[in-house]
Amino acid sequence: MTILTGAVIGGLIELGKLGLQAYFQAMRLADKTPEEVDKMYAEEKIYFDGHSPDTLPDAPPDNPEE
Amino acid sequence: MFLKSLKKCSILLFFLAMVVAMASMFQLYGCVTPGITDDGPKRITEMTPKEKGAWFLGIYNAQDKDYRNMVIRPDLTNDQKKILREKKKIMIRIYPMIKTYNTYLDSGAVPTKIVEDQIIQLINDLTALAIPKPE
Repeated sequence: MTILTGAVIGGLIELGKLGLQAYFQAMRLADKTPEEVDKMYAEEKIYFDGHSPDTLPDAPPDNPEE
Repeated sequence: MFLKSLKKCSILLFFLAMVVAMASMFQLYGCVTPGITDDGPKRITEMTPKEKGAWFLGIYNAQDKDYRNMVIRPDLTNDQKKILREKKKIMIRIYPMIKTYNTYLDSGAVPTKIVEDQIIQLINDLTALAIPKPE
């Protein structure tokens, strides 16, 4: 269990999240007609255009006690 | 006793989830035998440009939502903060590329393979970010 440091666990969780997100996004596209894909594209684009990465808040400073 | 077995169980489930997640990534990038995805999600290479565009947007938006939810958590560890900082850097790089890809699609043109490859490379970078580097 000692190999499961915070960084390893955090990294594995991130990897799992991204993998599942990629998988579910692809699942959403399965069996969609071109019209449905267009609709999905348009919906995602509205969120994308309204959320520039410039508006992402910075992560808080590190905790020196850790 | 009960807590110990519960802990062991959750660790096993955690690793199982990771294996499933990694298998799905490999499957999507076309690293498994062709034909296995007949009833599942399409591989990137099988997607039309519009489907790829929707897929890129979907992944970016999911990462954006995840970042915004994570960054406000009061119990973040220093390791998590480090991952968030790196993730933000990659998201800043990937955003204009997806925007360029969308511009091609919206004008009815076929996006270039170079832009597509750059976006996929950055999605891979997000995956690589999850693998801790030695200090």
